[in-house]
Amino acid sequence: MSTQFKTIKQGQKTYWLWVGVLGLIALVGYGAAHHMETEGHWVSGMNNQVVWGLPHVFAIFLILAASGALNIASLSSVFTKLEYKPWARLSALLAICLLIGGLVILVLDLGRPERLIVAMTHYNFKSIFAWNIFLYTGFVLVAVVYLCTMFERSLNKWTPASGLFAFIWRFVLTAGTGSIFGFIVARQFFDAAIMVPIFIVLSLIVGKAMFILTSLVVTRLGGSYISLSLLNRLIKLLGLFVAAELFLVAVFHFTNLYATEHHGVEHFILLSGGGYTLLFWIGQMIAGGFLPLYLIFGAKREINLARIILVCCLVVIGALSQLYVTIIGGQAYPQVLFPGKDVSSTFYDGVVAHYSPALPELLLGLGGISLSLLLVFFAIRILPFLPDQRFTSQSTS
Amino acid sequence: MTAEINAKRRRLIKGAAAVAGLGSGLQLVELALAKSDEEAVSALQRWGLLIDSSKCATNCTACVSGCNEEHNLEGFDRPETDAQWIRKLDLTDQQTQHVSSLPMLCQHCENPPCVDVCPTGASFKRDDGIVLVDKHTCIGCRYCVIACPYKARSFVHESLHNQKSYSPRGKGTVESCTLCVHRVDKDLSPACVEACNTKGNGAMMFGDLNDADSEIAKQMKAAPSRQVREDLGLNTGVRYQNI
Amino acid sequence: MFSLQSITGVIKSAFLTALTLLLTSVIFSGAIAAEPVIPRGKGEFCVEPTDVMRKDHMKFLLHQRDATVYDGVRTKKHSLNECVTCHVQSNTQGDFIPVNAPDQFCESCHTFASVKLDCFECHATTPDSEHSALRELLPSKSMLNVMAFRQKLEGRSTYHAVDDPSLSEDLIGILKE
Ligand code: HEC
Ligand code: HEC
Ligand code: HEC
Repeated sequence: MSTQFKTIKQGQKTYWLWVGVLGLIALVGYGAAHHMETEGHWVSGMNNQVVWGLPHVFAIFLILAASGALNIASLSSVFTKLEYKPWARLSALLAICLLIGGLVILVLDLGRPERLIVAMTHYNFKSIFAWNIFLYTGFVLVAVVYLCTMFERSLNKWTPASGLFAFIWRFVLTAGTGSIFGFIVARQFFDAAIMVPIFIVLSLIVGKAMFILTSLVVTRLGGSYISLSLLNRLIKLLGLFVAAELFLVAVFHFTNLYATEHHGVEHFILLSGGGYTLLFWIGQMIAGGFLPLYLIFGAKREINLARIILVCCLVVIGALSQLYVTIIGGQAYPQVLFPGKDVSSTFYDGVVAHYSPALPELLLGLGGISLSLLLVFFAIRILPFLPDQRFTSQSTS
Repeated sequence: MTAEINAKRRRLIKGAAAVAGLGSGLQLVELALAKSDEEAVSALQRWGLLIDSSKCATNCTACVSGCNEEHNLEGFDRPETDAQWIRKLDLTDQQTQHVSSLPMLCQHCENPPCVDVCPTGASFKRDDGIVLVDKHTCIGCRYCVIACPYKARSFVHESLHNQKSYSPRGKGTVESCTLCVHRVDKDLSPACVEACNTKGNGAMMFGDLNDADSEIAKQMKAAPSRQVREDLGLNTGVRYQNI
Repeated sequence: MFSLQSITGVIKSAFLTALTLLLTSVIFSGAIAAEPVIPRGKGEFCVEPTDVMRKDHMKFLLHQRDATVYDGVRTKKHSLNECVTCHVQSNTQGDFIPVNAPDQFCESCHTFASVKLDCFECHATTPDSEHSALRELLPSKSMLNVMAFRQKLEGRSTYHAVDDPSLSEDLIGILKE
């Protein structure tokens, strides 16, 4: 079986409408970042207690989604599930674009983005951030090579090998992203190695969700289609990962609850944290966990398209909530310097830090997502990423 | 190494001065002990602080004002984003209700987490144990702020003006207590310590932890002191007594 | 949560970004910069021969920067603060004009060469007042005299100690060195 591929049809109004809207949001996002940089970060909601805010939630979301999105391709070339093969190209493309969007957010949020060159010439090899700079740029390279082997017929024989390499790379990458938090001894909520598998599974969930959502949009534009049975298979796989994530999160909290040292922060996240508690239960657990599980495994036989879209949106909301609770909640909870003592100071010791996201942060985050999608839109116009079902044997239905 | 010779020479002179019992020469002897301007700092020294919480009064903020004046940390009346290099902590024991007070600042760890996490190596430890930010290579990622167990770092959230010539500071970089390197390099003690001794209650002592003859090393040997979060094994250069 | 100020700020910035993108392309095509006016520094000479300075001052500065920050080397010769002390101008009221002001020493030349510096976002652009007083009044730059002078300002008199006969010759030798 061989699949033909095509670019999208030229001169479509809807295409340019998408490009226009995404481009505008991306531009506004850039303006927001520029505003934060020239005025200084005080115009954001971030402060000396919560130094990473909404931009980081979006950036890490995109980076996780990127490595997860590549898994559709891995399913075909590593696990030889041939029904996914027509979608391998789009999967790798999406992975690259999502990663770029995430990185752009991270860079624009730096205190001194103009010193990016410093970050590329000075490395501290003990820093997980420095590893990640290599893992992220390397990921883009690996995915590009992988794409090349798919595009160029003479290189096709290398597809499985490069696919396997990309698959391993993405695991290391997500492990690196999880380690950003997992290795921090200073914070009650971060210091846990289980953060690594939690991030890996989360990436598999959001990667699939972002792939399904994007592919639905672009196939519609491109005049090809993704079959419902394939989507069903994907969404059930996603369901398994949602269940696994719930399990890991439960283990994480139970271990914390066992150690007296962590009772304070657990009480904060699970019960007394106001917005964080609400986001944890409603966003992360219900919208991102139980509800998708019910929608997926509670269905009679085939899950219809509307339900699939709903599930994808729900897990995206769930993941954003989870990252918000983890990253921001983890910072808002006060650091414990003197166990057994009540502490007070002029620097918010011993109290929950205040953080409310400001508009520029939100715009920067949305701008990053738009940039990712914009890149996808440009690419599918220039190169044949979409399967052309007119010439494809009926293997996908 | 010349650093070694110089450090030895300085100790020798100190000894000689003690023997001679110079009167008006004392000021000069201190001068002679100062590292010369050309000389690089060396690991023979490790600068540190000893803070006696029992002498530190709850309502006294002499060290904080001393620091703020020295480095011009005046701020913008926005306490959430203004920088604080040193702050006063008031502690109340949950069981016994015992109240104590102490200044909290960069602990100048031997194994600083901020240095570990910094992607560009801008966070670094000088050979003499002082933990600093090289603001020329800091990109403002704030990972070190997250990683510091002592909440000792601040990010500069807005444009600054009227900085002191010896303490450059600017928007978009992370900063923290420098142990007043500019003063230490001239053999003066940090501004907080000076303020505590002149305007406060003399609760802070500065010195070379590696020099067994220094006042601070003797004090530490004689009476128990502790590190904050000693569980992390960071070997802090700032130690506390009588918390 | 979303203040009006931040909304207008964002709009303004987005607008400005678009505008600068547009304008820079126009400006780069046909702008002519004026010859810089380079006011002389104080004293006779710069810290290195003038033509060397013209060409290599950034090398000295960047080297000095790392030497100071990492090794605590505090020599005066190539210190940025010293450049400012010598090259700063005063206005008619006798107040210092920041060295990075558009028509001032460092900036006039950099504008001409289209070099953009971030140094003075952090570094003081005028000398600390005590520091400049020292420079004006002192014939020698030696550390000892600086310290002695500082004491004089503070009304102490140990600076006479240099001539104190009770000090051994050796000690004075080391001090002078
Ligand atoms: C983000 C703030 C920041 C910026 C921007 C910055 N510096 Fe610095 N600089 C510092 C700090 C902090 C020190 C350390 C001061 C000390 O230890 O006394 C320093 C020290 C120095 C020193 C040694 C001290 C002296 O006065 O000689 C030099 C030289 C120097 N910087 C040069 C530069 C140059 C050149 C630039 C521009 C290319 C620059 N710096 C930009 C913060 C900054
Ligand atoms: C002792 C005072 C003094 C100090 C300190 C000093 N300069 Fe100068 N500088 C001068 C004088 C005087 C001249 C003019 C010499 C001449 O005309 O030949 C000069 C000339 C220069 C020039 C050449 C200007 C031209 O005419 O093209 C440059 C560039 C320069 N200085 C940069 C620096 C820098 C950078 C520093 C700090 C590392 C510095 N100077 C420190 C006094 C000083
Ligand atoms: C005679 C003209 C002239 C004067 C005066 C001058 N500069 Fe420069 N400077 C230059 C030129 C030209 C460059 C760019 C050299 C290059 O890019 O190779 C430069 C570059 C620099 C750089 C390096 C910038 C970078 O990012 O690499 C620093 C730092 C610097 N100058 C500091 C100063 C300071 C401080 C003063 C004032 C005391 C000063 N300069 C005065 C001409 C001048």
